[in-house]
Parts: sequence; C-alpha cells; structure tokens
Amino acid sequence: MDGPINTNGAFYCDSKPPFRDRSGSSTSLTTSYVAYVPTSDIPWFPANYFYSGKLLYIRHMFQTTSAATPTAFFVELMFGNNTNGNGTQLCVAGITWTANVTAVQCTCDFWVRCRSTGVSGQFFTYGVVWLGTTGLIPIPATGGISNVTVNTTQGGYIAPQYFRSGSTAETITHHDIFTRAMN
Amino acid sequence: MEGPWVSNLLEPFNVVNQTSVNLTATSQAVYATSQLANVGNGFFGYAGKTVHFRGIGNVTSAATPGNFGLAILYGSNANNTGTQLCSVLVTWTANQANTTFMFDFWCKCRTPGSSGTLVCEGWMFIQGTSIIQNAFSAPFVSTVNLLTNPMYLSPQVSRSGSTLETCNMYDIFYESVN
Repeated sequence: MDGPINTNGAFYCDSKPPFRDRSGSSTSLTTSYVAYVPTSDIPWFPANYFYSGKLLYIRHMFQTTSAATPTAFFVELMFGNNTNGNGTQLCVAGITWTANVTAVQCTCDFWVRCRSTGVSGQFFTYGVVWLGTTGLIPIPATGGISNVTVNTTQGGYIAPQYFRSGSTAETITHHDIFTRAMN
Repeated sequence: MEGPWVSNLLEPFNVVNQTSVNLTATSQAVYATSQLANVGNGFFGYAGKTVHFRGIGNVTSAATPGNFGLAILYGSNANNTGTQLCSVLVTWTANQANTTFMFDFWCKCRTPGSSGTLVCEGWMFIQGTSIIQNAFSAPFVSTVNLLTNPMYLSPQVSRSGSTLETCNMYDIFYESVN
C-alpha cells in the first residue's frame, strides 16, 4: 500500500472467499435444476449478514455444449444450501438455445439487493445471461421484477443453478465464480 | 490491500422502486433525487477519478414509440436540466410490455476544478430491442463546474414517437472505483 486509503465512505467493495483456482469437469444437463457450482467454491452468508441496502455482485463463467434439440436453457439464482432445486429462487430466465454449438463460453452476472431484513426479509435480484452463439438476455427478460421473501435471520449460499428443457445430451462445464460484497 | 484506490459503493442505497414515468420527446429523470449519489463539490477531485453506475428497470412501448433515448446529465436531476455527458438512441421495437431495461456507465474525470472535464461511456440494453453503446460524438469530453453542490449523474429518458410509452426504474448503484 502506497498511501492513505482514498475512500468515499465506509462501504468498501470486497471480494468474498473462497477464490476459485480450477475448472470443473463437463457435466450433463437435465430437465430439472442442478447446482453445478460446488459448495466449496462459494461463500456462506451467515445469519443476519444482510442489512437493508446491502448489494452483492456474482459472476459465473462456464461453457456449454448443445446438441440437436436443446430447446431452452434455464438459469436461476438460489438462496439456500446449494443442493439441487432447493432453496428460495431469487430470479429466473429461460433463453431459446441454439442447437449444435460446441464448447462456447457463457457468463451470468447477478446483482442481489437486500431491501429489508428479518424473517420476511425482501431481496431484489436481477442479472444478465450471455450464452455464446445464442445470445444475451436480462434476468428476468420481461414482466418486471418483484421482491422475493427471504429469511435473512438464517444463513445460506447464493449460487446459480441450470437446466435445459430439451431432450438431447447438453453439457455444462463450470470454470469460475466470484462474489463481491459491493457495500 | 494493494493500494489506496479502493472502490466504494456510494450512498444512498436504493431499496424502493421508482415511480413510473410517461415518456415524452424531452429527457426526463427516472430516479428520485433522494436515490442518487451526490457527486458534486469536488467529488471529482483529481484526474482519473471514476464512477461506475448501473440501473435496472422496465419499459413499455406502444404502437409508434419511435426512438428510445437515454442521456446522462450532470446536474440537479431536474428534467432536461444540466450538461448532457452522453446519450444513446435506438429504434424502439413497438408493443413491448414490461421488458427489462438496464444501463451501465463509467464516468471519468479528466480535469478537476471549476472548469473541469468529464467523459462518460457505457451502454443500455432493452430486451426485445437491442443492446447498444453510446456514441463517441460531441461532446465526448464535457466541460463542467465540478465544484458546485449538489450535483448528480442523472439518467434521463425520452422517446421520439407519439404513443404512450413508460419507464419504471427499480434500482441503481454508484460505485466509486478509485
């Protein structure tokens, strides 16, 4: 450090450990949500971690391969124990998936804002999913965004889960994820 | 810590939806001033000072929306008031209800002081229409008084058509990058 901290307030942005240092292996997508990001790769948010106005930023980098009839690629962000399909869904989107694209780069960005705390706390969550070759869409794409009730007096993980609605052998490979506490 | 140039989220922290705005042919503020960070009074106090800001909301177009415009004004956040730092214009797809709209901009000080200069660059994304970057057209570098207070980086929207289009913003944050 080469000088005093140049700050505009007390709300520093911090990266949250653990810090990912390896890629995952290719895994088949199914027709229900699967937590493809290992729990060892994501931070645990303890009980009462959130305060009103708290903002998180999460980026997940991965690659996908689609086959002949992938139909749609679905993404959701979940608050819970990072097991398949379990927890509170914070946001969701589905994108019509281009068939027969091999090993393309994909990125999901999420912002999670705590609007109120407590047993009936409120989270406001949005994001963007970018599937290589297929396209870029907001999460959610349409219909507006509503608060989601989350019990912030309980701890949990926040991580994306994915599935495909088609019938062929699509795969996903998890590469990297990082989480930033924005304030 | 690798240096003194830590990033900070600027207060206030937005926790409420904003009031829906009916678009007109001139720029209108889409956030209450109470939701914006004050970046006046020497906040841009050195060359290179940078603020990243991002907003999210939704928009609805009717039969003849014409163009959708987003402008970033340095000023009081009053409608169509202040110095326009940059703008983005896109032919707006008609009859799109409640599609997600987001923008992402970076504003950098090149010269501090009462005759300061700012550069603002970024993009906006309207689902069903396009993702588009702001043009590097005049005034790419804007001369403004960076010592007045309060001053805001105010996102404002407009449309060139003739029907009832709306914009309803949900959230915004300002991150002081250095």
